[in-house]
Amino acid sequence: MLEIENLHASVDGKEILRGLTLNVRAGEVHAIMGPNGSGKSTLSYVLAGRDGYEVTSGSVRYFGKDLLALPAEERAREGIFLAFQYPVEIPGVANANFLKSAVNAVRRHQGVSELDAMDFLKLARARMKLLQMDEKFLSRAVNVGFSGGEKKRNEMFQMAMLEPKLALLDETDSGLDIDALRIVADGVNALRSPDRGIIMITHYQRLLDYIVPDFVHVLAQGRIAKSGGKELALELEKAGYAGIGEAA
Amino acid sequence: MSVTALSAEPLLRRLEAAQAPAVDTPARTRARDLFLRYGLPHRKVEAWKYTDLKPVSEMPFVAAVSAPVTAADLAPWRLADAHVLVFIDGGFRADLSEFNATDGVSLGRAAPGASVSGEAAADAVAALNGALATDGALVRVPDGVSLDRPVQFLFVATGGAVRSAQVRNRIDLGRGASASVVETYAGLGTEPCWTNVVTDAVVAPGAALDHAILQSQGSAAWHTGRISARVDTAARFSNCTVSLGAATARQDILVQLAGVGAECRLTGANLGRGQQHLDYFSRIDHAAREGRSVQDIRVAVDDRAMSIFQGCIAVAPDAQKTDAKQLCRNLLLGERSIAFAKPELEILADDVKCTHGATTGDLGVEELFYLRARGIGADEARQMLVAAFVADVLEGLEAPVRGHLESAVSQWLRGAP
Repeated sequence: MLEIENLHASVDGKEILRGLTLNVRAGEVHAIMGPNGSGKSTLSYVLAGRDGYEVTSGSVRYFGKDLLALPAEERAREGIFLAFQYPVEIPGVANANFLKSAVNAVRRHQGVSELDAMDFLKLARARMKLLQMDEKFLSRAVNVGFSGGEKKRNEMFQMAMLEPKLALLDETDSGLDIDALRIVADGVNALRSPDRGIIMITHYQRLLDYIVPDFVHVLAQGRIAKSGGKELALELEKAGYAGIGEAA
Repeated sequence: MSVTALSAEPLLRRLEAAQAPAVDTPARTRARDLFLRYGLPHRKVEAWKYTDLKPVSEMPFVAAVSAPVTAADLAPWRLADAHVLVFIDGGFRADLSEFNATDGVSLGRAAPGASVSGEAAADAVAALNGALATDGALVRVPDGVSLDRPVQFLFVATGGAVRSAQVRNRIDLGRGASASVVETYAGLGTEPCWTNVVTDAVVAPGAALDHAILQSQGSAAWHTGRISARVDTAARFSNCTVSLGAATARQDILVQLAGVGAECRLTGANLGRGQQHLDYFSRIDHAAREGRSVQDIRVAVDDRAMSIFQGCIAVAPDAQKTDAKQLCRNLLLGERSIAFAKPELEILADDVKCTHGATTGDLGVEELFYLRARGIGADEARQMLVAAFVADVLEGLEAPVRGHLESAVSQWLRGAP
């Protein structure tokens, strides 16, 4: 579903991604690991369509289409979901209104009838239960006053509501205690399906104990330096990232 | 005598000729003299430095019969479940109004004998109103009575001719009384017109007046409005002014915290696009001890629109233990939109807490991206963020009034004038 080919991207004129190639097929879970500054978050922003991330060469095809030609909202409507490393606080916008607008924007795009307030609430309650979230989060402003863990859980809640085809989880494990991590992992695992792809970006191996990947890639200096199965994560845990960058 | 003052007399004559004759009273004569002395304020008058009323003095006002207006025409602006006093082109219309006063409350048409408010050049627009106004709305609530429902003054300019509407409203709350009043200014036509309104409010000891203004006049209209409120001991006054219509609008909010422990809360929003010019001017006089005032104004201007906020807080030498907070936040949505924020503090007491702040910025790129990354289109995302920015100042308003202002704001956000 996703074919990244020799991708080069810059931020503020500084090249961060330097020839990244990666293929994700439906049903696969890929973990991308790597030291700070290796380009992990840049990859997620480039895929989600954030302004200021300039692709200088290479291509990204998503279900055969040129993903990079689409604005951010179109990518989301086509089923790409980025779980933010640092979810943004939006004072004055209630979580429920925000999410209802999002869900219905996606549904409109897909030619499905929009959810009315009742059906939306029903669905939202069911999904929140899964993530053990209090319903009061629906009426609160988006992420405002949420703890780190609550913000991450809110991301997973949005993902569960939007049911993406391709989920990008950017350091979703950071800032979570072990109980929250388990709940978040359960949420992700519940979403695993043969027609959905997942890319997990993480610094630590810990998350991979709970969400077992099919493939592990090591990102170093803007490109995939090493790929392997889930056992690669364990190797990294023991040996660290040292040496991998140079090997590339 | 200034150049503007020279043109005062012809303007006064034209306005007089274009309306029903006003019965002379000593106050009216005094108001007329005051206006003739100063004329329309020019931009050298400090309080009017950002707004030039010259185009008003050049409008070809005529006396014209208003086009027929039906209840259906008013429906978009009418407040549900309220006492509604309707004025068409400045004239009271009993047939379109709907109100019933009980408990000794007076509601209806005011017969302005014209009081003069202010003696300075900056007050000349109000003086002209005093000289000319023959109609307006009246709310009088006796001691200890709480008005059952909000009162709406609904003013509609019909268009079809260049008219002026000179209106003078009166709100009187007795001791311990309470009421909610909203003034709505709307326009049906596209011709230039001038609505000049003065509302005099008296809030007796222990009383509470919640007051709101929705200025949603037609795109060629000029609007000047002034509310003067005298707030007595332990009384409370709030005003929320949402100004999003008219070509040029100027709103003066003058509050005198005259009694010990009097409070006021002034909120509002200037929402402009195109070439709109929206001027919000306030003066809070802390004249007695232990007064509290809170002010929170939000501005969102797009295209080449201009917003002005001038907020003066004056603390008299005796007004110790005053607590005053002022905030004006500006959102510039267009590259050529302009917002002025001019706080003025005159503090003559030494044991007071006064803070003020002003911010100016653009919509947050982080917030916009977050919304778009969830599938929400850029325009809708912008609307959501501007709505959220404005929503704060509507918070705390009573449900029907809040709904009234909210729906006007969301229409504006969707691009309706």
